[in-house]
Amino acid sequence: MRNKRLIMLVLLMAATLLVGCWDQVEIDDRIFIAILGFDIAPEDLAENPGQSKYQLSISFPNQSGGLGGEVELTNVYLSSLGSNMHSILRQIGARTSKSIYFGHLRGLVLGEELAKDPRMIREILDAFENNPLISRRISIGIVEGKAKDIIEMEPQQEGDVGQYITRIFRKMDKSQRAPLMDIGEVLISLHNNGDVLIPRLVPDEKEIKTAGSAVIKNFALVGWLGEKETIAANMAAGKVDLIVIDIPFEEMLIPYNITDGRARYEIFHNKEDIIFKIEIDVEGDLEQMYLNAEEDLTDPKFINELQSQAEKKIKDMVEGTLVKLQKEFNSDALDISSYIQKYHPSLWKEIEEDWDEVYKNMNFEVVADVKIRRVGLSR
Amino acid sequence: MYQNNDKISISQITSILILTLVGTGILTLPQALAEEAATNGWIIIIVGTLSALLVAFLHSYIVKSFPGKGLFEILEATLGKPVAHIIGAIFSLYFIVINSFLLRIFGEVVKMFLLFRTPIEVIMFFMLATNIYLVRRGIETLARLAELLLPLILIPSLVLFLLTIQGTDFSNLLPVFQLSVGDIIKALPIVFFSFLGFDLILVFGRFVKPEKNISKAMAISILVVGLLYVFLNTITLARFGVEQTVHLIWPTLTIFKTIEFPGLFIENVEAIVMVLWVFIVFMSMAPLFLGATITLSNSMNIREHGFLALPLIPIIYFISLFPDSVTEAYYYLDYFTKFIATSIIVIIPLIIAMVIVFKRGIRKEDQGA
Repeated sequence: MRNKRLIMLVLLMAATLLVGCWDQVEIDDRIFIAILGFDIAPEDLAENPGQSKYQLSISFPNQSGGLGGEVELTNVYLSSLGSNMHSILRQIGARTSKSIYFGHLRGLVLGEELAKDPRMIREILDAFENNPLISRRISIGIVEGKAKDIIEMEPQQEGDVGQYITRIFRKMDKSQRAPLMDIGEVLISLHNNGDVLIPRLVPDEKEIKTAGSAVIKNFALVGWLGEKETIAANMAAGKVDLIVIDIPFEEMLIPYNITDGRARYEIFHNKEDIIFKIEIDVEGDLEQMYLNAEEDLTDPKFINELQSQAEKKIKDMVEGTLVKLQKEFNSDALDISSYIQKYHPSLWKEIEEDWDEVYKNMNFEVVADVKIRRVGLSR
Repeated sequence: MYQNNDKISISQITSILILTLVGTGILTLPQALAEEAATNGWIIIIVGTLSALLVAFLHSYIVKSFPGKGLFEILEATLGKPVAHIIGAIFSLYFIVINSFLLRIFGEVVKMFLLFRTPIEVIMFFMLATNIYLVRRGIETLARLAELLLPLILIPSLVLFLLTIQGTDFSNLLPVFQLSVGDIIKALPIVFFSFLGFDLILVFGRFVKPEKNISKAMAISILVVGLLYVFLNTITLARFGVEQTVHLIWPTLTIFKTIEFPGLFIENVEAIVMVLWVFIVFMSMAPLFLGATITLSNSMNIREHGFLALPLIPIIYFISLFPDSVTEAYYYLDYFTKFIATSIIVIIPLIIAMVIVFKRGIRKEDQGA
């Protein structure tokens, strides 16, 4: 008798383990969002202008057909207005049959107008930093135009927009025409001084181009850097890998492929002046000359001449970009302040108070050291 | 009196101590240090480790002076019976409160990263229930489990942290030595709190054979944990830099969000991290829980400590749910560790040690006379 009761009790208790899980979501009930886009809410759409600040756009592939037949993938676009990311997602969630999941988010794009408002950038980026699900490795870009245009594009190269943009972002380090930043690095840089370069995305009819960068000063977009300038900024930051630059020689532009490089900083200061010196060492290959060249590529003298031409070119590029960042935007996007903090703490204590002024009046000195390692097969 | 023969080896007590010391302090330590000492947190960790070592030697001196005696008997022999009852109760209350904080922070973290919609009460209850099971089995079971789990926790954690090294910038640790003595003293309690738990030796010392090696076990466990903290702090700073670390609540968890490998297959390692987290908290809670029950049963003159384990569940449960929010929990925890915990693990043992020295002095005088 006692045994039977005991068995009953154990069985009943075991039954409580079968009630399931609060957090259970089946995988096919989930929408995996790859990319999110934010814009300022257009005024004619906003129901209550005071509250709807943002327009959030998402797209995801929708599976139809199935069960033996061809599976057809169509892109579904959703966008909605609201006061912050989470309330908008709730609204969008009310319109979808599945639950939205961010664990596999790959990218974030911000519209140009929105990026000009420091408050909005900070709100959105905090929503990302604060979220336990979203990785710090996702890419971020600022769109020339509206983020919605990118999200709602039908790309010709790939079926799914999210995947297309994701791949564009991933490939970025091959082209170097945009700064190499994931959101984690952008956040770190913004925490340091509020200035950073973010990749610029240029939408076309059926394509997107990563070209140049958005200059952020005090959490707000203040202007753009072109592709060449971005390359220069990357070189100044020491992030050099597979860049092609043109060496001017007589009437030609000779392509020089940089395979490796680094940058070293030094600082000289007296009472009035601060000189920030950047030494850029690069090495790489010469891609081509012209047929039956009069100059001899196996002649060290000629190579030396090309090298000094390239050095001059790099020096001009980098100096121009640094001065543009400094004088035109007054944005310390290269984190020179962090360098001084780290390596010259006593100097930093002196200039910390009026860093903005000091940065504006700082002088730059760029020294490039170019090595042409290989010249190809012909001479 | 107890089941089994209740003897644990030096390596077992070392494992127990290491796992107890690595509690929830590990989550917040880099943030607190970055805020107080910017890039020089590691200096404070080293100074903190040395000061913890000093206090730990005080504790092991006390334990070694009374071989085979537990905390309550030591108190009885030095401070007299009535005081022993009170201080014994204070000690067990202290263990209970630490345990409650551990449980609360455990629940909050799991809810944040893993079980978004599961009530925190449920998460906490199951943790407590598992603890009870272990605590009722006594010190030997705990010791064996600690020995088993130590490598299972330590090795995967180190591997995970090494994965985050990709993309670190060690220049974030510059400048060094920008710190005054005042800064160090001000930030010292943060590190000292991260070592809370080594005072368990007062309770467990009686089980350890041979007791002459107790100070060695203490030294090893504190040095291992100190090294671990230096390692974590260095990696976190190198990854995030000071400014970013200051703005993170749990930098040691956020750092895992920076792991990425080509091909996407190792990413979102939260699930693995949470598995380790459950182990870490479990092995921090169980020894403190056992310490609480043993001390309490001694000061209440109950022979079998196992009976007390169950009644403690609701107490721990309600204390841990007392703070309204994570913020409030950390606020209380801060006060508790700064004032109450420090006085319990430093001042009371200091008094005991003074009494021991004093009594020995008298004995010598007697012999001399």
